Amino acid sequence: MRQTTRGDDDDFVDFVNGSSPRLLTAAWMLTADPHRAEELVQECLERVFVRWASVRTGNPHAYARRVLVNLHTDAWRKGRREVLTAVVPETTAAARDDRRVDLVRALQQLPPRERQCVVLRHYLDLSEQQTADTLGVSLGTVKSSTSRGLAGLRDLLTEEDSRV
Amino acid sequence: MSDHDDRAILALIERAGAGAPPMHVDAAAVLDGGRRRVRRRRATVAGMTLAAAASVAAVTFGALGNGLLTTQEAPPARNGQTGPGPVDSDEWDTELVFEDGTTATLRLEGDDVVIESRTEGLHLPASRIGDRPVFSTFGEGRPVMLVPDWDPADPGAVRLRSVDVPGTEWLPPSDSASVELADGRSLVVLTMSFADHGAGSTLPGELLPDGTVELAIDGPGGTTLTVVGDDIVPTLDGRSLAGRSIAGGEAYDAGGLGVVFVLEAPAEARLAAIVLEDDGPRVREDHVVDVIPVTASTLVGLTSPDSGLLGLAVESPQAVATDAVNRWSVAGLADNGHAALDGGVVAVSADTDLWLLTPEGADLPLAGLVGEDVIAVRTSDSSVLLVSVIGQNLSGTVVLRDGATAPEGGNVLGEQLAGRQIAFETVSLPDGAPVRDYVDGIDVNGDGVADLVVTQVVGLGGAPTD
Repeated sequence: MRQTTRGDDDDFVDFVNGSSPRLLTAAWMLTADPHRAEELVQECLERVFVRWASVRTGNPHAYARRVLVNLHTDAWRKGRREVLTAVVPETTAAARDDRRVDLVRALQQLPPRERQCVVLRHYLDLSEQQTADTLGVSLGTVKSSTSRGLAGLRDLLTEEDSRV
Repeated sequence: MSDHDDRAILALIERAGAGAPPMHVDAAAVLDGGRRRVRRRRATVAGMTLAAAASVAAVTFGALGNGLLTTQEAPPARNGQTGPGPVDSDEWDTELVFEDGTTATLRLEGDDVVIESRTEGLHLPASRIGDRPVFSTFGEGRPVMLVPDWDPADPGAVRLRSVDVPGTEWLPPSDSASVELADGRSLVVLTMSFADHGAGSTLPGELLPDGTVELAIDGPGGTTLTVVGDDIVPTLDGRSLAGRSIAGGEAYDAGGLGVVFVLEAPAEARLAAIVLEDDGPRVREDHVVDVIPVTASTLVGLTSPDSGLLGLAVESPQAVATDAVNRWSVAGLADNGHAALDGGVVAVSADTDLWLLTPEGADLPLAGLVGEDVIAVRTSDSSVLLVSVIGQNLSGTVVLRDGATAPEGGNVLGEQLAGRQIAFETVSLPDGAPVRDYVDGIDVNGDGVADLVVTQVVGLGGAPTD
């Protein structure tokens, strides 16, 4: 194993600072919980650091995304940490935009795979193939899950609108 | 769902992203946590190295019949080696203990499983922890161990836990995954349901959702499987798996759930130079300079379905970027004068050699058209711009700008280029407008390719400009 050098560390810190905002937001969309999102991303980036010597010259962002969704999937499978929430745990001034809150809440109502596909495709702007690679599923699964996810969001948001 | 609804939801997603609550990850804390994990792993690797040094001649698994698993020689054993003691892998609740130079003990949740560490072949589940089989193999001295778990809530699903895979991965029934080993081989894992099918019967269903594969159990006890159907089985992660008979030990029947493990040889790829000629970039047979194995130690590069592997070579062909077929990735080393971006654009300076990797046996691409979805465009300053057109209708003007922010409706391609942010502007075609089939005057055949003109490639490399 190659020794990690100070230069590597500097590069990694730059990577953390550069990638964490988008990872955090993606994790928040997946969990609706900013604290859980921070935990997920912290663990994700620690795992990236372990492989940093080999992934830094490749695609560390793709690697980090895959670690993140694996951690999220694992948490969902374990059923320990992810609880469907009727209310988004924390809001900010920006998030007090009702529609945004509705959206994040609606995302949590989707099956986790559909939610992941929607977030990866339409928040992280990954291609269908990149999403399939990240999730370790087929292209067809990505297409169908994304389509179902968007349809589900539309129904949920329409339902919210009708209640108002 | 109407297009209007879709657009509204997508816009909402973008706005939600912009309005996320304040969150922060402290880089120093990440470094500390990462270092703790590295220390644990280094202890693990030290033990693994001892085991690898003690390896003896490997065995040949001839049952596959196609030489995928070859005999390999390894250094002679050093007797009496003792590992550094128990270490734990944070990927799962496991201790890996090397008791001497030839065996390893995997301790999982209190149970010990002794694993032979002498061969590079696939170790079949002779070992068990409780009712769970333990599979292992070694590549370049590094063990890969797989412990399938069965999800009580989803009996068809299998979870694989591996040293080399971040986190864990769940496979739904009739799905596949692969673990790429350090030496380029892949351990392909297929799952299927054996329920209601006994020995001697044929499973008529598809093994893979998008394949046409049947599995026949043609041996007693359901332990010998034959993949019937297409010669090449597409797996769900974009790899191709040759149809073959599978020897008994490679399939594991867990009470109706089958798990098949196949060890795949490293892919080979041809390395050809893309030559800049007056009328555009060219690749010809006489440009092929080498055939190299595609290994995990090579750099990641661009790929496309047709050309397979696209690499950017620098000083050594062995340093060429490679990756599995049909996967787009980042390539490039900024300090070698080139860089690539996840998302589809690679800019290469004129004084940097450009190489193309194609799978052995594949046709070399047309000039300009590197792959179905990759186009090489020669710019006015003789640099080369490689453009991915997967899923995109590119049109109008492309501008690479230093330190720019993506314009409304534009795409940010990758997060950095030689350390700088760039933006990539596209102008969408009006609805229903025909898609042009050339790029910068170079004929291409890819569907979805629109008129694309490179107007500016701002100097690559160097410090950020803002």
